[in-house]
Amino acid sequence: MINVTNIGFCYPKAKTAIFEGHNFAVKAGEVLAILGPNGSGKTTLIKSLLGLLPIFKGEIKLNGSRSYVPQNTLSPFDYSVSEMVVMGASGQNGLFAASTKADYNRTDEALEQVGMLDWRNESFSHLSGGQRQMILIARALVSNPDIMILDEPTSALDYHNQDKVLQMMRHVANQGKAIIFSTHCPLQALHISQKTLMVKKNSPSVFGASKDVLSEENLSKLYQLPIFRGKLNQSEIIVPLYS
Amino acid sequence: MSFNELPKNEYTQSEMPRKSKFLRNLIVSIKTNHFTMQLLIMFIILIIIVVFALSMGRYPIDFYNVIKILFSNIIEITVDWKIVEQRVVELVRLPRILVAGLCGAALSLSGAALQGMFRNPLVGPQIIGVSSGAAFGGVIAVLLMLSDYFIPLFAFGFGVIALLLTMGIAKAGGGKNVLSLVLGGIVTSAFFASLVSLVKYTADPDDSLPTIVYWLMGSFNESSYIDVWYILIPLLSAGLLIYKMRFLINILSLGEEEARSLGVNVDRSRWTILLAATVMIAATVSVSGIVGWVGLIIPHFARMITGANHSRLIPISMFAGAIYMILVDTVARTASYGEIPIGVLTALLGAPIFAWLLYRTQMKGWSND
Repeated sequence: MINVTNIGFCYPKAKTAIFEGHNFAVKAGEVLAILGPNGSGKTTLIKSLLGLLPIFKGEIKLNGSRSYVPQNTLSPFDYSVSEMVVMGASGQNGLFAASTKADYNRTDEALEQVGMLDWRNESFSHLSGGQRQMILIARALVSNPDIMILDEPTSALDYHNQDKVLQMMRHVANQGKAIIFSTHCPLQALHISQKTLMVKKNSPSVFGASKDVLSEENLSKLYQLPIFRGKLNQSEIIVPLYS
Repeated sequence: MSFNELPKNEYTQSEMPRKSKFLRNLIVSIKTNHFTMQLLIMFIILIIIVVFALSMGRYPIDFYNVIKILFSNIIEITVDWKIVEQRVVELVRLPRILVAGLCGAALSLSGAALQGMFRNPLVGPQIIGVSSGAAFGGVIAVLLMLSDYFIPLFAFGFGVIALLLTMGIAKAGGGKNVLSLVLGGIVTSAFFASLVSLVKYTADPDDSLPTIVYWLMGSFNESSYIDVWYILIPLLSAGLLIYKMRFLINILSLGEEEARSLGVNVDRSRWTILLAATVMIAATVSVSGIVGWVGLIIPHFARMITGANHSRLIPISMFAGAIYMILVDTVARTASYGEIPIGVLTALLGAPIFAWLLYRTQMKGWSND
């Protein structure tokens, strides 16, 4: 679905690259987690994957359409939920794109999928953070993409809403879409993603099956902090041992 | 200690918006379902205001006579009004009111589009420097004693130059940030304002200077049916273009990155909207001088009526702008013995309204960037 070989990105005029030498591949129905400390170029990598930033070397092979779930959106204008979601449908259609009846039907379907149909006429800015994330996922679903890319989808959410968003991502992946998301939480990566890409500034990235990549050794090196991985009542846990 | 399970739905009530259910449903139904009704109401108000404005003035004319005079053009009515009344209505007041209404509509429409595009509710035609540039162009045309046809052309030309300057300065100062754009607009406005002062200083104090000064303050005093065309054609062409882009403006108002991730060609759409808005702003400047604040505040009121979606906001803004401008112009020509320049009045009304809007929005538009 998406095949990335040896890509690198560098801002014009900057001396050092933001990231370099990333290699990874995601297949349909798979989830890829991008894990890395602050400043390791996660967001830049996601923007490059979306085509918002040009890469300076390497290659991104895409097989299908992409859609994007940003971290959080705050428009100064107060759109309703369905107005917000329908924007996912009309963007690609050029200058005079109009939202048709069919677009609104797809909007309702997407809202139904994320369980927010009852909120279609509410104002987007009045929703809670978790609800907004769901709406943004619905907006990405409207264009029926093959690849969904999410930038730290759980970062501002409580445990309950984190769980809901992760469930939704798994649900979307089960429909045969590829999912790429960035996160600060190794446990989430272990929980829902088959593949993990670990990125760190000035060192080669690690890519592979999540259960192998997310080893105590790798994680401890990544965060420069002892990290415990083990089992509790048959579920895997990953715990940082703060100094 | 533990939390007891509450027998509630997925989302508990605390997450519901705070308004009462009845009020919420009412607002939702007004905001979403009754757009046609809103348009109809605005249209009726507009018609009433037009007839009311036609009857007002130093030569008061009976309300019913105005209606009869207007209808006498369509159906045959026995003439029981004075011929002077008919002349005042048809040759003096009607073109003026039409021009005022169309200017109000054009300014509000371009204001709504610019605010959406720059995702900032505090942007208006004047803030991007186009008004000052267009004014300088018009002043040059007056100074050179060119015929009236050149005023719109010069206004548009210098409006575009001002726009390019503003965008250039904004780009040099950081680019994407709305603040840098507004600062670019301030620089451009100041530049053209000083050029206008220079022209005034060199203008003939007996002849062109008074014309320039009065024209700059803004007035619909000399409006004729020719002016109606001057403003109607740009409004129909550029305005329609912007209306066709209404869904795109919604997406642009989410911010550049998000718009691009949704597949929008941001640069192309921005330039198209900016040029269309410049055409309309320059047209209004060429027929009426600088009439400030209208394009800034009317979209806010329209947003209060119909919500932020530009497919509803743009038509409602046009109607609200027309109504507001006709009302203010009526005050301008009737409130005192002399004529009050309309630019002075709109600024006088606009400044306190703008301050109130700042208070109401709590500077939301700025803090997001």
